[in-house]
Amino acid sequence: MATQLRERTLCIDLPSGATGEKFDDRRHGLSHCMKAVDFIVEDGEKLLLIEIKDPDEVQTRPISDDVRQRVLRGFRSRIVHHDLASEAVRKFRDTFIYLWAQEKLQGKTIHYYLLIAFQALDKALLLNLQDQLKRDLPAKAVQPASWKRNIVEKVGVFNLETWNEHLQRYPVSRSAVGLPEDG
Amino acid sequence: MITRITFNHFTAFRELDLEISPGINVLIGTNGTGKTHLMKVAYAACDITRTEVGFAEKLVRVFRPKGRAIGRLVKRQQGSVRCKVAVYRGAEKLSISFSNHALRPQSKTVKLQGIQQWLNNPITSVFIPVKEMLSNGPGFLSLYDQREVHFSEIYADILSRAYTPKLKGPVDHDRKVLLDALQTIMYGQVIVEGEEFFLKNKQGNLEFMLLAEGMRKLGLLWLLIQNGTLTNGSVLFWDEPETNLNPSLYGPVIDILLKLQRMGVQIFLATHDYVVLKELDLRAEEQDKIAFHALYREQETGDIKCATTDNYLKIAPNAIADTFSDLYNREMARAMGTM
Repeated sequence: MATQLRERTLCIDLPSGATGEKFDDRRHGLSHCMKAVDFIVEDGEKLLLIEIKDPDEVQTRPISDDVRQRVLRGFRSRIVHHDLASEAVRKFRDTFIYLWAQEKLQGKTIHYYLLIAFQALDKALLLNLQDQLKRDLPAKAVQPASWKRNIVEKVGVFNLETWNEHLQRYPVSRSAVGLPEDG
Repeated sequence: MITRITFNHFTAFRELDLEISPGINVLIGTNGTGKTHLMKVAYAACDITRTEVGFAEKLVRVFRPKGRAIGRLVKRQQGSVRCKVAVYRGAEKLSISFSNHALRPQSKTVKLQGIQQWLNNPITSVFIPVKEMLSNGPGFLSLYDQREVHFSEIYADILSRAYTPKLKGPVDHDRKVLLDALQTIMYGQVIVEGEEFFLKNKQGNLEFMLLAEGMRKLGLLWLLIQNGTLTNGSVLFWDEPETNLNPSLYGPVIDILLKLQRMGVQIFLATHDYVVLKELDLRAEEQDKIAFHALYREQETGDIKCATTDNYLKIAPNAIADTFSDLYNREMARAMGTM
């Protein structure tokens, strides 16, 4: 359990009392059938599922310009073709099931936050992704009347700037050099 | 190709000096920042090279000032003031100046410069106005010629372009690709019988009046490509292409505009639409020449200024994106419970 979440050069600080772990499908032993979000944070009765996309980091990697452009183009195309949203939904659901089976969901409200560090992504596209996620998870406003519980309490799609604006409890920062990944 | 436009005390503008891209020029700005005025002036300058109507006369026909008083196109202010408009094509310059007291396009105070050289090289141009005209085609041109109807000449001109018969000979490869792309999204091709337009497909001929307005616009674009109006060296002005089109069709339409540009058509687009801008940004390739001209009203003086960039992300001010940012901020505030 860590008090800081690290994803290459990105670092999210957790408040005292909260604990987080790197999750992702390489670690949970079911990568052949289940996807996973990057981090799970327990903060009181809140369980935060955090997924990080960091195409901006590609800018600083020691790779050829061609490769760099290919990676960035690939990312843009995933946004345009809505793959990003459906991938994020899949990761949420699989993680949810995993946590349910671990009996870790009892008494918790689940928050799903997607952090996308990509300067080319403007707020209109963030807004659109946010709406797609709410629609497809599905969030409270979309779920059937017969559901007794919300599968997700809050959903947010952020860039670095808006993350720090709305989630001041978990500030994100970028360090100049890559940190060794936790665990 | 238009390369530069300058205004002094013309309509809403105090002073403007705009470098024009040979490719696609996107004009953005809130209502009343002069996007359409800019395009109308450039269009008038292009159109007179073919019709040899005087520049002052064409401006009056296009802008329709009350009582044909060209002086009413001068920026409104107290006292006597002269306006000056210049349109450049490389080293060639067409300029006109007149005072706010000029009552007619033929007034002695209307001064024209560079017209002889300007008329030596005709430019094919087309202005697609916001309002769709093809469905009103039958009888409109004769009505317009014979009677005093209060329509900008833009509307008569676009119909004349649409009625231009198709080019002789086989359709070249580039144009065929564009025509096919349009036929796919509008499910047919356009035919003209008498003065009436129809969409022709397997079901038969459908009157334009019965078509969705967005489809009529695509039909117009199809005709302009088919009859060779839009070809290497011509200039297309399109005022709010997004009007009446479903956003899912913006992509294919932007693709067609990018291809026309690669064929050598110079394009001016005025838009209020985020998706139009973003489609351009996402679909443009490295070789494409795109200039975003952001028109805005300067806070202190109230004057209209323009900031030009070739990079979508550097458009500033960008009233369209700002609106989405505002929506996003409010949505996040609601979602995160901070509102």
